[in-house]
Amino acid sequence: MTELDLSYAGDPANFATGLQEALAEQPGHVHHGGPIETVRRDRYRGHEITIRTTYLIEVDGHPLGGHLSVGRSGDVQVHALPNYTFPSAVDMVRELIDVFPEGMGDGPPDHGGQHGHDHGGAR
Amino acid sequence: MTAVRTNVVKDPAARTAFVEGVTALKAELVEQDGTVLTTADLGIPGIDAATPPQELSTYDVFVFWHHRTMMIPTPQGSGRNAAHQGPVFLPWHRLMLMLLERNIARVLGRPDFGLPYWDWAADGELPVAAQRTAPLWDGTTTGIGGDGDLGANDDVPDGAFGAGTGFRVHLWSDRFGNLLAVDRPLRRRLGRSTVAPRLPREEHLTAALAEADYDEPEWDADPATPGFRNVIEGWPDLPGWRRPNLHNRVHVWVGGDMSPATSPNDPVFFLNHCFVDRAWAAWQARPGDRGYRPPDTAPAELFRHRPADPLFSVFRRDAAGTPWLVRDMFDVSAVYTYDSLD
Repeated sequence: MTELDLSYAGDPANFATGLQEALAEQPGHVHHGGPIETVRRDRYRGHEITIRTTYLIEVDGHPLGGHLSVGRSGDVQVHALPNYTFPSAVDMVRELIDVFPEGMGDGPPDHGGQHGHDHGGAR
Repeated sequence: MTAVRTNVVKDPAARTAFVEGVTALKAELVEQDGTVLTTADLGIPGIDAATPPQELSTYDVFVFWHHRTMMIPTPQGSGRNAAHQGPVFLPWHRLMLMLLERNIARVLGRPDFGLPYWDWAADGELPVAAQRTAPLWDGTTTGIGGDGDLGANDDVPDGAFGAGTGFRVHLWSDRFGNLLAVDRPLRRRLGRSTVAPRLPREEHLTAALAEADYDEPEWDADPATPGFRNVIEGWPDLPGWRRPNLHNRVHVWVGGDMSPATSPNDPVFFLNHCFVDRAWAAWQARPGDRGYRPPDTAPAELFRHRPADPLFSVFRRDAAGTPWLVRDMFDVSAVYTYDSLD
């Protein structure tokens, strides 16, 4: 059994400092439009398998953007819907249209103040 | 003082305390040197030019924390992140629940406050149409509130967190996964996703509890990865049901603000995760080897998922910045227990 003192974490005087430390440790990021490369990896009989796929997805002629990953099973996942997996990118786009109907087809926004990170795939 | 967590539907007093606690944390603003912290201070842009920076509440800090942690791939380039799709899923959320519980206890002045849980597997046994009107979705002023209004952007119209109450969503992850400042009511779409038109059932929970090991290689969200963590998180298919299942299915079924990475915006998030945590406690209490995996000797690509690794937190443990460790979450029976693990 672990003795845990939660009193410091329950003191509002410490919240702002914690937020700013977290920001410094893990800066935010922003997703852009254009091609998305995913990296799918697996191990089989001592071999390392790497499959790189480039997606260029458009809705009404506008690039969808975002962050996709492809799992070992071939399932597609997207950052915007973290509890979903999809059998195909088409299924994923349909659900995105259902969940985020506003502005779909407008392309990605231009947000400042956040930084990029790698778009990789799931092992 | 050890808190006791109870069923939100069977314990109206616990539900009322939860609602009052969340409301109080939503009204408590985060300050630094006497100035209220806003989304602009964290570099979070508005959803549009008309949306000014939003003041951040203690409750919003939990929303920010969840989103930020979800955007930390472990390792870089992986779908696995610092709180999901890997072994740390259960320990990280256990810490999150304990810190919300502690803060609610503080604002209520009730050191014995225990978070309630939502037994969604019991509601999953109801006919599909009845699941959306189950007792949890009580629309009275002390209730969790019901489904979103289809004709009004899926805004929740009733309950303690409904439109017109003062409960406003201020952080939202858009379809690109970017965090934006917003100012609008809470949204739900109960059972309206074709991906998850009904809740998980008892037999699905039983299947998760029957898993022999905590987690197994490749320690990921692949549907073929065995282990309690991957099954309860909801990535594999279950007999007769395609993924998403269990925890994931509940997020998808509730929909609206429970869908993106800012899902703690909906207080139901905590009721869902409290039930998931209870399932972990039940699994841990079963006979046999119920130890956490992977071990500390696992490779560096599993950083943040091994017992001695730090949990990513925006809440500080002490003035020195000592991190909570994954292994700190294995036995927390001194902090809280459940009324029942059956």
